[in-house]
Amino acid sequence: MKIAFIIPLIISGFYLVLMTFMTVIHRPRRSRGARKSNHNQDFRYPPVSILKPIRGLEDELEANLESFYRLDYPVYEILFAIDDWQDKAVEIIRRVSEKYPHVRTSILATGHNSAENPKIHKLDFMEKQCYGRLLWVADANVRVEADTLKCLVEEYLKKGARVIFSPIMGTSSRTFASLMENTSLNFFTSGNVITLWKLFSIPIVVGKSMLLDRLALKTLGGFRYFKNYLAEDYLIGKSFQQSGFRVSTNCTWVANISQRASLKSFYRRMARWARLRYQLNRPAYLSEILLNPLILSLSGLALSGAGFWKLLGLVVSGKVFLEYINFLVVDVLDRSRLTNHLLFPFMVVVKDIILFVVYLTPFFSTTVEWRGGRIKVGRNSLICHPARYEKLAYEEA
Amino acid sequence: MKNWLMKKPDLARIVAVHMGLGHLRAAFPLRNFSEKEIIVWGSRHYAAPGEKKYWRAIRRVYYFLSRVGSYPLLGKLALKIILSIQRIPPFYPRKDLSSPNLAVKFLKFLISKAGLCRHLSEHLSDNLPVIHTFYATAIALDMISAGVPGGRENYLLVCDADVNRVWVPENPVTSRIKYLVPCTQVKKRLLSYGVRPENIFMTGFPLPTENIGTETGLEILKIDLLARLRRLDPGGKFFAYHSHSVNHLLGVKRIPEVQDSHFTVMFAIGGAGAQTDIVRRILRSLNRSIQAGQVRLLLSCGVQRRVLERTLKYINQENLITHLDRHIYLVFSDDVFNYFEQFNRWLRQTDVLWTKPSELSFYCALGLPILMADPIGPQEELNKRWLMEIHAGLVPPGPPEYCSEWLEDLRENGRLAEAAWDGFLKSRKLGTFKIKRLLEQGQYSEELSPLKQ
Repeated sequence: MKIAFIIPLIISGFYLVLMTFMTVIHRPRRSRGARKSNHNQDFRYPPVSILKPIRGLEDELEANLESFYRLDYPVYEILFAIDDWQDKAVEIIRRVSEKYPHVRTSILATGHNSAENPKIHKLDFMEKQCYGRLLWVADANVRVEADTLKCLVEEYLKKGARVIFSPIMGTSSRTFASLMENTSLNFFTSGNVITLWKLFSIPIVVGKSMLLDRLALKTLGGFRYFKNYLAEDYLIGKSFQQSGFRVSTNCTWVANISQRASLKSFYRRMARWARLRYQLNRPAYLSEILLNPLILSLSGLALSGAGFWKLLGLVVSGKVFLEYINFLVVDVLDRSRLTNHLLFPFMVVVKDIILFVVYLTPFFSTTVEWRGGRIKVGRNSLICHPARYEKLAYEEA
Repeated sequence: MKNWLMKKPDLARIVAVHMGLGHLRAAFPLRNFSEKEIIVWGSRHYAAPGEKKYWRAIRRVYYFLSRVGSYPLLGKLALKIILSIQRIPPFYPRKDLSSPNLAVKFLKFLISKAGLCRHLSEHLSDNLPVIHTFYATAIALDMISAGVPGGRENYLLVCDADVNRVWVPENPVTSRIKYLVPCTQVKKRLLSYGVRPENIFMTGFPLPTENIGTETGLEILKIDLLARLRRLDPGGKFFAYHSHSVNHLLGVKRIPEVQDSHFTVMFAIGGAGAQTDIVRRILRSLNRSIQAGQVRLLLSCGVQRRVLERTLKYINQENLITHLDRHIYLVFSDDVFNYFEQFNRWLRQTDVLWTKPSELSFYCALGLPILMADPIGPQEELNKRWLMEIHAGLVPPGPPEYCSEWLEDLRENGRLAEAAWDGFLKSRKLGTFKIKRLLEQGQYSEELSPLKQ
């Protein structure tokens, strides 16, 4: 019986160490000056349209938006898509854009189409209005450095990549739940993004930031190709790769600002992502339990008795240690707060227990809450709506 | 623009199934016969929850079987076994084939014991005639209404040039199913299966009216065909033989000069995507001609994303991605009826239709020469035979990797133009109109003139 738990724990430990190691190697770089000098001035940077679908007020929205207006890039424009003009974000967008008149800004009220992916609905609107050869999709809670865009475009120019994705640095925690959310993003999400790409060339495209070649996107029929699916980011990466377009990353991190998440919002967000991952690739999802050694050793304790206490202690301390390394290396802003350090070991244990509950949710429910609506998802994250007449959208994407 | 004053006639309910694209394509031109949309039985929105899973499983098996032949060794063996089960017995020597085979009995078991299509009759609340494009739904409704006086009329539209016994119920004499058949061979076959002659209507396969025009004028068809014939006969060989009959039947005084130097080939990848690999070979061969703008290639990818994505991958591998939407066009949509709309639109510009001999064989009536890819299944073998009998289909004279060479030869010697013309002359093109008249007025007639068939 013991061996049935020890083998998965060994696999788990090995992968988590590997993941931490890869994240440390490809951590967010600090020296912006040195990075700038690396840019080959001969590159002719193509015009970029930054597409930002927005709904409501995100944490530190104004500062996030400003970071996009301070980009060190020759020609770019920013397009915002909101549901309607009553959105509170409009005022902030206007205020920021007026401060930077040299950057062309467009605000589009696209309405809300409940029958399709709300983000794709907005992106499709913006794509029709923009002029850039490259499209950079970035969420409202994303903050970037001045040279982020140049770094991403370099990957496009050097390697001919048609989709360039980024690891995400969750940061700016002010609550216990936001610390959990950011740590989960940095350790689990970005760790996997980097490890799977660097070791197995598997792209995990996270929609918070992705640079797309517009012509390549057009061959698939534009953003509308993904309108029936909720996990548009993952499917964009997969479809591009299967269509023979290079999908790549040079590990240019972008920051995801999550300051005041509550336990409820953390649970909801994680449960939504879990449900989508479950629908996208079930074997991979089932193996995710290996990334939660705490639960594995607790199960071992429950089934095999007291012999597992020591192992449990070892597992907990090992997991906390690895996540703490990740925290120190990746989350630059949060590591300056003493409270975060004090809460960290306790937070990791609570987080892993919550994530186990989250892990179980897709087995009982296929409905996700997103952007103000409840959406039932099928295989490959297909949006299932009761329709009046037949629309033969394929589930075998 | 939609004319709000015109109301769709409510002549019948159209019931199809999603088993490849064939049965849906047959239903598509009939969509205006019903106020309601086409009922795709077994899809997510039609059929009881238990039955949906059942149909989904059948569909998966169907797609697997369609592709199994492309797998090496075991795949070929599996295909042979499957084909032997689907076998259509030889027509000669003529004999009585009315005794049910294993497939008929199995279908009867599925309907009576497993509840296949049990809820279909409840769904069809009114008493309008029903046109089916798949045998199972028709036979199920026929079984349910057996012994009930009156009742609704069941029409079963046959989608191939020959059919298996499974298309006819166990007892064809008592069955009330009326068959709408595309060609003489099917009529003879159904008679041999024991179907009563008064239940067989040789209407022809329903073709999209947007590619035909009106029943009496065939305006669109004639315009497209004349332009196509000119593009397919740059050397004038075809017109040297046939200019008089072309003038007479298409109603033109003078054959116009050739204006387009290029010609357009459409390759239709089947609904299951079994022909995707041929795309790579075609692209490799036509690469130079495409780059030079001499050939336009339309790749019909159907409704499956993996087919579209693989096709794009091949285009990328051949460095032809910059020619997309210039000399290469992809016909694709997630929505199957939207796809048919696109497909029919592109057909008007197509000069050669390269496809496996599926239900698309009947599209030769639009004056399209059919280049036949390898058939899958006995019914497609017989479609191929039918196409060759009427000279509307050509077997590619070489492998796809040399298609740039042999396509040019076929064009130079007028073979493609001849096939286009023979398809137009010998195949029935007015199926949609004849079915409508049958439903509206109960009238049906068989004509000999190529313009009235």
